[in-house]
Amino acid sequence: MDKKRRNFLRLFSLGVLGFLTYGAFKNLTSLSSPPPKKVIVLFEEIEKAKDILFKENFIVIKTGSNFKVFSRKCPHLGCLLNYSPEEDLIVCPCHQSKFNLSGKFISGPAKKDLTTYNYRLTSQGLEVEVF
Amino acid sequence: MVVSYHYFYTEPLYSVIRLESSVPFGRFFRSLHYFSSQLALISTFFHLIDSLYKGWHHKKNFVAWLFLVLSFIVLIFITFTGYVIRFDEVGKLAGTIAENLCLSIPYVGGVLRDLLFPISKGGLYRVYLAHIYGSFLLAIGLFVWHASIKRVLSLKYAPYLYLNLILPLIFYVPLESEKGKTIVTGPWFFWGAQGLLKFLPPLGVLFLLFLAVVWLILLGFKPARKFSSWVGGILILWLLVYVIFSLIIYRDAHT
Repeated sequence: MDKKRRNFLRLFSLGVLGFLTYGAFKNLTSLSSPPPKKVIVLFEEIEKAKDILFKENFIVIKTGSNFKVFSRKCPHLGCLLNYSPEEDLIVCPCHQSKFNLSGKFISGPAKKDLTTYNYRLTSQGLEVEVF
Repeated sequence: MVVSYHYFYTEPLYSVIRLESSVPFGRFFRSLHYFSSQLALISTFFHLIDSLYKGWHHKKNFVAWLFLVLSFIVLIFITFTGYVIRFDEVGKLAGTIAENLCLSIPYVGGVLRDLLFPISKGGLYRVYLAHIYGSFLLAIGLFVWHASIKRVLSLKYAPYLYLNLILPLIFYVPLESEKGKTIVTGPWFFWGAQGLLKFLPPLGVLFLLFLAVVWLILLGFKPARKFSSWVGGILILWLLVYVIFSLIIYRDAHT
């Protein structure tokens, strides 16, 4: 009888300990994502950057009167992409994935095209939705 | 003066620059911090090699060997987080890669990311905490194993201390704040992983790194002793491949 009770208490204690550990771990690992934000890009900024503008999170490319907006994160491991004027390509500095100015994948480990961002034209520029 | 050394994870790069430019001996202490971590990493690596060479991994108990391997892994992790939290251009990229590598792990990737590298979600707070807590954990672990007062007073470690002090006086640890680069390299001990990531999928690279740790631990595991020469051979081969990929990255960055 005593042994049964001891076994029960041992199991119960382990269960409580497990539950508390799970709770602590769950608390430690829950973090909410920031909401999507809207960023205004002025036409002057794009003109000043000679139609290839690299912002902190996205890239704006102007061809004629059309605009294209891509995420600046490499689809491989998220490195911030840069522009190589010698090759006229968008290049990942970490693992050398390359994309053309239409966001199409050319070479490297990324294997995917760049993510396109939605934007809205306003009288002063572009309102880009960054997520 | 001590208070002004404080690092603010909300403005990491500014903190480091301020520390260098306006705090007395700030540049020296930052270099000291950097070189002591590099020396610790290199010394622990040679400690591992030395233990294997002299057969201590079999002579001592398994827990001692396990702790040595784990200390090395924790030390790599702390050195890497230190590199990330200075948050210059390459630190930022290294943090992003670590975050996305975590996410590439099925099932537990999201949890691991939120625990260690949730940079896109919450900035550097948790990376900074991991750096601090990891350092204390390692320091306590190493002290428990090695630091008898007698040994410290015998000045056996004095050459390391002198080297730690001399290196930061001679060399400066630059910050890489240049934007728009089309090629960057991570910390030297991760060049091999950076090279492997150019050719293999992220999960494959993580698996290779994980396998190396498991093999290293297995070397000290008594029941697996009869396979020691095989495991050792595979590890040497692994190290060779890692060095080759490191050299590829070095070549790419310097041509």
